[in-house]
Amino acid sequence: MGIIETKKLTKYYGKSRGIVEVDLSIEEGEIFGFIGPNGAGKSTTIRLLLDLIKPTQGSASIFGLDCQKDYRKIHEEIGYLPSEVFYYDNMKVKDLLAYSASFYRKDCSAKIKELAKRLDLDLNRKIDDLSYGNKKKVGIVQGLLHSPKVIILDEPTGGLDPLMQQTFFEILKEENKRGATVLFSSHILSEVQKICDRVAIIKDGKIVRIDTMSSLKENTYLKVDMETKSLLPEHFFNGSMNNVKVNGSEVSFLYNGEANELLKKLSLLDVSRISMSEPDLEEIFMHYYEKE
Amino acid sequence: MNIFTFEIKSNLKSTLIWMLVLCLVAFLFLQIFPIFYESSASLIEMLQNYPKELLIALDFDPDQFFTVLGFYSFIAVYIQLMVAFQGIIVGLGTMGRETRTRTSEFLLTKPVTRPMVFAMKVASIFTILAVTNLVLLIATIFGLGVINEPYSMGGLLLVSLSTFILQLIFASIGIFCGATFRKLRSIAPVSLSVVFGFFVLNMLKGVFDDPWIRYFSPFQFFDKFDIISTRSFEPVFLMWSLALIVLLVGSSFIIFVRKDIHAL
Repeated sequence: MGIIETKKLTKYYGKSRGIVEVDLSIEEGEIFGFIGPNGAGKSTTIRLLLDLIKPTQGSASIFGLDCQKDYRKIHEEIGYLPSEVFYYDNMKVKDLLAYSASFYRKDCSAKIKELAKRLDLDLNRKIDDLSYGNKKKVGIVQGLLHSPKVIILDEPTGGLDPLMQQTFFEILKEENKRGATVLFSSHILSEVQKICDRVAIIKDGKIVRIDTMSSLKENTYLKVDMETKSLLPEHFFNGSMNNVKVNGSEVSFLYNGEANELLKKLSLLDVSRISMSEPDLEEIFMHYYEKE
Repeated sequence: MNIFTFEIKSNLKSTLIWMLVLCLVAFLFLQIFPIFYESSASLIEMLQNYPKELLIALDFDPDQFFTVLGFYSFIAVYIQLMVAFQGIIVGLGTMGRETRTRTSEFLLTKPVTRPMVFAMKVASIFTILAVTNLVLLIATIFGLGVINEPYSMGGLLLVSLSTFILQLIFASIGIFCGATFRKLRSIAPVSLSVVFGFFVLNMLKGVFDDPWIRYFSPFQFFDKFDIISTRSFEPVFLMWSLALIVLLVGSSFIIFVRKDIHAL
């Protein structure tokens, strides 16, 4: 059984759809990506896991505990970073973090200092005076200061500059090594690609595919662009090649199949120039969204 | 306990200001009494020419006005207006703090149950208001001591208690709004309209003759002159006040524990 499980989890806001029968099982220790465009139901799923909203149907559990009944126990070991962070008026960063830490039965001061140092966050400033990116950093520290077993991130990178994003990802990977499970929701595919082991693609409130990062990429097209010195042999093209374009010695096609097979075929040719590119997650993603 | 302490701290500055202002108003107003008392005969004569509705609206009873507690009851109308404001502002501000600052997600993803959050907030609200009333009572006793007029301590305590209960009613209205509103930009407009609404309703009591209006007008639940002369509350209105508080806080609890926290 996964550390996070949902069974036919459904949420309607009045008549409008939130999510419909979402089944997820996230294993302990993995970094799980959750991708989909705005309004697909990512935040709804996360808010249900955190018991911020109540499900219409179905159930969700974390650590084998019911998300609705045992939320207090679950929250002991959960760190959450929302897409937009808001804090109380007139508070210094350190006061807010101390208030946040006061909910957990452990000493978090060392971790606060360490995280603040790495993120270059001044603890003595007033939160109201901070920029959007710096507020986000407060959110990161606030979400991680108690070294939670499960880290839930809802489109977390907005406002962070590329360098900070990198530091943030490094921290996440370290937390993951420490044993933390990470649920990472995003509509930015490149960041999911960078960090996640498995991804779920959500569309119109339903999960359309759950797969490992590698197999998601495996079963897709390889774009081949080459120039040959001799003419192509007959029957070179077969069913796994699409979009074939031959222009004299210049040939391009999309290959869908085992890369090894393709290499065997290509080795028989006299190739003067070749480029093969792997489509990125973006193209896979569009593939799921353009089907209908 | 941390939420309780946090709320007390967040309210500390404004509470101290409220206390200071309330105590000053009570103390200084009482110092005027001897001057009024000296010229009471001519004042009574003059006031008898005023329209009755106006005197009722101002809670002015000439027979009572020139006893020191009667005079205190008269200024208590304005003190009650002030404590009503403080009550609803503290109630709404504390219970609606997360809605207003959009920190519900912050607080409700912490390892604390929603009933506990609610209980700590209500406890902090009631503590703040109780302490304010206690300090106000001490300042009043001090003010009465300075002008050195005989008065009944029992009567004073009852009037003060009625002020406290009135404040709790407004605090409960604040708690209810704080727990149920989905959006809350600022506290002042809600507080001002509720308190002034009821205050105006109270001032119009001379115009409406219907006794049922009293049940919907908190400022009329406790007739101060009546309390002083009978040394007791009207049981029906005491019960009605307590029932209102329980009803408002109880329904706030049920809604607060169950409600969905929507993304903004």
